[in-house]
Amino acid sequence: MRTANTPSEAPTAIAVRAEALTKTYGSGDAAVRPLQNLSIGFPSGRFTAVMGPSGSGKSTLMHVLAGLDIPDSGEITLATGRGPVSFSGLNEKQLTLLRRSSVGFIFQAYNLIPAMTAEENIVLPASLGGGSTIDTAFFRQVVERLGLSERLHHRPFELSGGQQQRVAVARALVSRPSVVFADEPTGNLDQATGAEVLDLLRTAVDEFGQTVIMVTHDAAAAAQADSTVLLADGRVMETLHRPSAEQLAAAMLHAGSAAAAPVTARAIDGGMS
Amino acid sequence: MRGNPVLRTNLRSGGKRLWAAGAAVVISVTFVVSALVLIGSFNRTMEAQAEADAAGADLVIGTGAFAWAEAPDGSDDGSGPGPDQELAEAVSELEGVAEAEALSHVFLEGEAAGMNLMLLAGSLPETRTIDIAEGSMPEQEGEILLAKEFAEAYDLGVGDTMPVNTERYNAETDTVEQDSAELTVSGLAGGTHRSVSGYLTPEGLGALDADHSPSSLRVALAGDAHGDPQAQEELQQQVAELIASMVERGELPADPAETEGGAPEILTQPDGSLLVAGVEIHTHQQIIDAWIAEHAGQSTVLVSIGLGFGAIAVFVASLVISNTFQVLVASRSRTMALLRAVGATAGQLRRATVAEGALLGLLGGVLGVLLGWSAASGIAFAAQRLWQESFASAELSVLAIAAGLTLGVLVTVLAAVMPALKAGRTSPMEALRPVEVASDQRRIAWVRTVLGILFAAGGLGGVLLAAVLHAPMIGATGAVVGFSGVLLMGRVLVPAVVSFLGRLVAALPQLRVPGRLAAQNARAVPRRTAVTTSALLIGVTLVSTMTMGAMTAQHSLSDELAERNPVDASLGTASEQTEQVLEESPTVVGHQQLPGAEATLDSEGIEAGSVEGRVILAEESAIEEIARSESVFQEEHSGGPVALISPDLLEAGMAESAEVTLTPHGTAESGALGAAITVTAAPASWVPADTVVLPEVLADTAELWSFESSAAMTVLRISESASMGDLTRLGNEVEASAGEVSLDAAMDRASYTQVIDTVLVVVLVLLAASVLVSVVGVSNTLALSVFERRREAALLRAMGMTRGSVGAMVTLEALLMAAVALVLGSGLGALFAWGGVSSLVARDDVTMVLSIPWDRMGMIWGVTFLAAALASFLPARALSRTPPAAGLSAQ
Ligand SMILES: Nc1ncnc2c1ncn2[C@@H]1O[C@H](COP(=O)(O)OP(=O)(O)O)[C@@H](O)[C@H]1O
Ligand SMILES: [Mg+2]
Repeated sequence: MRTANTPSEAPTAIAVRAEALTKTYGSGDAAVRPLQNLSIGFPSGRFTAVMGPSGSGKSTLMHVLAGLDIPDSGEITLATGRGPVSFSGLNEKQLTLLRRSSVGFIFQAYNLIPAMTAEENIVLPASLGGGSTIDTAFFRQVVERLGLSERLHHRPFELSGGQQQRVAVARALVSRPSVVFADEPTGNLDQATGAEVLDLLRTAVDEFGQTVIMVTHDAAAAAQADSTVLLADGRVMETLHRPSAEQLAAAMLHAGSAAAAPVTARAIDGGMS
Repeated sequence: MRGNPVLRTNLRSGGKRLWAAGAAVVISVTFVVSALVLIGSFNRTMEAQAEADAAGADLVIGTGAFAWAEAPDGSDDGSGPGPDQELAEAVSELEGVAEAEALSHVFLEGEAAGMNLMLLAGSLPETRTIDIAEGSMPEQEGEILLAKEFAEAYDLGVGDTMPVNTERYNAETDTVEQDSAELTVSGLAGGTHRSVSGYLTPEGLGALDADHSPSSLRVALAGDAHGDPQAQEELQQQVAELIASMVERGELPADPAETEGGAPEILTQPDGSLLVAGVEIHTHQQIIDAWIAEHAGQSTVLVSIGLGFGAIAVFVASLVISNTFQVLVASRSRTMALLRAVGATAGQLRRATVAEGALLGLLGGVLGVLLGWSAASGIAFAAQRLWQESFASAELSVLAIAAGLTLGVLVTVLAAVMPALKAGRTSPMEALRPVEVASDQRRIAWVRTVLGILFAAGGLGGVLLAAVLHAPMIGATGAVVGFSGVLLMGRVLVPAVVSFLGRLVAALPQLRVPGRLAAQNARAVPRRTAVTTSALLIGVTLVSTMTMGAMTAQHSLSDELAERNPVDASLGTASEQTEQVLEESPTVVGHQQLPGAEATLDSEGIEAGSVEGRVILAEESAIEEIARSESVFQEEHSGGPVALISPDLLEAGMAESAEVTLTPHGTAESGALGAAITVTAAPASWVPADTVVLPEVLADTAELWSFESSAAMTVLRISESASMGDLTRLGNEVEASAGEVSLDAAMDRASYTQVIDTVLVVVLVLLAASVLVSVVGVSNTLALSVFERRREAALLRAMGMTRGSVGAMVTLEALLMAAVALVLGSGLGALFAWGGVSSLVARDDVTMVLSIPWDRMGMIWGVTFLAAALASFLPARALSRTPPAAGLSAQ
C-alpha cells in the first residue's frame, strides 16, 4: 500500500489491515454497498484521518474494522499484543473479547453510560473482566493529561459535552488498545472543544505511541493527522500524506463528484489498482 | 456485585423502574406465604384438638361396644362391675401398665339461658391433666366442671346451678324412668374437649340416676415407657390378645356371630389401630392421626383454595414482572449496545439481567415473607378473638419461608429470562444509531395466533358443551383452555381493539389528538399493551365470573325453592292488628287473607283418624298474588290439583299425600254432611296446624260452607332481599297478634342468599391480590411508556399541545386498556358464569338464564376505570411536565 511506502519515512508496521472488504445492505434495486472490495492498511503508531462524502462508507468501515459489524466478505487482520489476529476465524464471543482488549472506540454521541461515574466509565472495558487489568500509573497519566482528575466522580450529566467526550477518549486510551477508532468525535462539539479533543488524540499518538484512526469531514481536523484516506462510494480514492487544507479541500471536491458520478469513480479506482 | 459492572449499572439506572415488578413479587409472595402460614395454624389447631383427648393416655380402648351388650352371665342387674371395668382390671394387671381407667358418660338434658341444653357428662379422667381456666375441679357430688366453650355458649359461669333431667331404662319393667338433679358449676376447663362437655367426680357421676354408657378405657404406661410409641404398640398387641382370650373365655360380651365359639380374630385397620370383637384399640398417635384424617378434608380444601388463588396471583404477577423486564431491557438498549461495543459479551448482559431478576425476586421474597407472616398473624389473632379461642397463632415455618423465597426468585427469574435473551441479542451497532426509529415490524406470530384461536374456540366450545351435558369437569377444563386461548390471541387482538377504541374516542373533538396518539401507541408496542391488558383481563374475568355466577346460582336456586315452597310465609290467623303490622313492614311485599271454616278432618293418613280443625279456602286471585310459582296446588306425581295439609297431621312415613274428608261443623240437618268434600291432600310446610287448605277448583260444595274471616289465615310474600335478621324481626312483630307463624320458605331463601353472598365476599377478597397486582402492572406499563415517549411529548409540547392534553393521552391509554379488559372480561365472565352454573345444576327441564347483577357489574366497571385512572395519574403528570425543549436534545 502506498501509505506504508511513503518515501520520506521509514516503513512502519501495519496496525490493522483490510483485504477486499464488501458490505451490502438490502437487496435488489434497493441494495446499498457501503464497502465495495475495499483494501487498506493503517500504519501503527500513527494518526490517520478518513474522509469522504456522506454515505461513502466511512462509518461502516470503522465498524467493520473495530469488529462491531461483520463484512459480507473480505479479511481483517488486527496486530494485537499477542500477534496478528484475523477476524474471520473468530466467533461472536471471541470478537467481543478482542474488542474489549484491543480496540478503543469513540463515538460521535452517546459515548458514556449515564448510570456510571466518569471513572467507572473509563475503566469499564477492564472491569468487564477477562484478565485485562488497568495499569494504574497509566490511568493516572491519561486522566491527568486529559484534565479529568477533578471530574472522576461526576456522572455524565454533570459534565459538559467536551468533558464527556474527553472521558470517552480516556476510556479508549487506558486499556492501551491496538487501535483507537473515532467516528466523527468532534461532530457534536463546538469548534474550541473539538480542537481540544483533536489535540488530545494527537497527543495520544505522539506521547503514548497510540494508533488512532479518525473519521471526520472537517478538513482542519484532518490536517492534524499524519495521513488522510479519502473514501468514495465504498472504495479508497486516494491516500494523502500530511496534506494541506487546500489539498484536502480539492481532493474532497473531487471525491464528491466521483461519488455523484460512479462511472468516473470507477475509472479512477481502476486506474489505482 | 463489584465483579459485574453490567449488573451494577442496571440496578443503578433501573432502581426506580423496578418498583412495580418488585411490588408484584411482594404482593404475590405475601399472599402465598400468608396462606401457607394460616394453613399451618389450622393444622396445628386440629392437631392440638386431637392431642387434647389423647393427652396422658398411651392407649385408648373404645368401650362403646359394651354399652348395649348384656353381661355374658346374663346377670346385668346394674350393680356389679360392668364389662369395661372388668377389662380395666385385667389390663391394669398387664406388665408395665401404670393405670387403666374405664370412663363412662351420661346424657343430660336441661335448660340454660332460655335454650334447651344437651350435655354429655363424663367422669373426670385421672390420666388426663385438665387445664382449669376458672374456678376449681369438681370435688363433691353435684359439682360439674364444664368445658369453657360449652359454658360460654349457654352463658354459664362458675357457681351457677343448672337443673338437668336424667333418664334410666328399667329392663325389668321395660319402661324409661325419669328423674332430675341440680348441678353446680365448680369450674371451667380450657382447651379442647371432644368426647364430653362436662366432668364430674366418679362418685358424682355414679350418683346421677341415669344410664351410664361406657365410653373408653384409657391406659397409661409406667416409667419410661410412657409416651414411647414402640411400647405403646407392643401393649396394643397384648391388650388385643387379652380381649380375644377374655371373649373366648366368656368374660367379655361379644357378638356370637363374630366369635363362633372360638377366639375372635384380631384385625389391623388401615390406620394401624387394632379391632377385636368390635373393640377398637388406638395408640396415642393413632388417635391423633384418626382425628386428623377425619378432618383432613377441610384442610385439603383449604390448601387447594389457598394455593389455587395463590397460583392466580402468581401468574398475574409473572405477567407484570416479565413485562417490566421487557420494557427495562428495551429502555436500556442503547446502554446495552454501548456495553457490547466496549467489550461486554452477550452472556454478560444475559446474566446481568437474570441476576437482576434474582436479586429483585429475593428482596421481594424476603419482604413478602415478612408481610405474609404479619398478615397471617393478624388473621390468626382475629380468628382467636372472633371465632375459636384455641386457634393456633401464626408460626413462620421453614416451608413457608422456603416457598416464599423460591417463589419470588423463581417467578422473577423466569419472567426475566425472555427479556434477558433479548438483552443478549442487543447488537453493538444499536448504540451508534443516531436516533432510535422504532422499527415498525408488525409481524404476526402465526403459530401463537392459530394456537390461540384453536384453544379459544375449543375451550369456549367445551364450556357450552359442559353446560348442555351438565359436566362440570369439562366446563372447568374448557374455561381454562379457552381463557389461555384468549390470552394467546391477545397479542393480536388487544392492540387492535385498543387502537380501534382509541380512534373511536378521537371522534370527540377535544380528544382528537390524544385519542389518535393513544391508539397509535397501543399498536406501536403491541406486546406491552397485550400483556398489561391480559393481567387486568384475568382479574376482571374472575371477578365478573364469580359475581354473575353467584347471581345466576342464586336465581336458579330461588326458582327451585319457589317450586318447592311457592308460599314464602304464613300466619295462623288474620286480624286487623296483624294487617297493620304487615302493611308497615318493609320485609313484606304482599299479604292476603284466606277465609276459613271450622271442620272435621277425617283420614286414614291422620294418626288419630279424625281431627277437629279447619278448612281454608284459597281463592285463586289471592293465591296468585302471593305465590312464587303456579304449582301451589300441583302434587308432583299425580299432576292434578290437590289440597294442602299441615305436615304434622300426617302420620310419619305417609308424607306423600292422603285422602282426607272435610266435613264442616254442624249436623246432618244443617246439611253439613252433604257439604263434605273428599280430597287428596299433600303436606306443605306453610300450612298451620290442624288445617287443610282447599283450592277453589276443588271446593265443589263451597256454597254449602261458610268461610269466614274469623277462622282465616294470612299468606305472605316476602321481599327477595330480606335477610335472616329482617325475618326474625318480622316474626317477633307479628307473633303476639298472629299466633302461629311459618317463615320456613323465606328463611330458606334468606339463608341460601346469605351463604352465596358470604362465599362471594370470601372469593372476591381472595382475588384482591391478583387484581391489585394487575393494577400495579398498568401503572408500571404507563410509567415506562412515558419514559420512552419523553421526546415525543416534548415535540408535542413544542408544537403547542397543552399539558392537559399530553396528560390526557396517558390517562386515555390506561382507560382504553381497562375498557378492553372490561369488555372481554365481562363477556367471558358471563359465559363462564352461565356455563358453570348450568353444568353444576343437573336439570334438563330448567333452561338456565344468566342473571346479571347490573349494580355490582357497574361497580366493577367503575372501580376498574377508577383504578386505571389512578394508576395513570403519576405517569400522566410526569409526561405532561416534560419541558418542550428537554426531550429534544441528544440524550
Ligand atoms: N444498518 C444499515 N442499513 C441499511 N443501510 C445502511 C445501514 N448502515 C449504513 N447504511 C447505508 O450505507 C451507506 C454508508 O453508510 P455510512 O457508512 O454510515 O456512511 P458515512 O459514515 O460515510 O456517512 C449509506 O448509504 C447508508 O445509508
Ligand atoms: Mg458516518
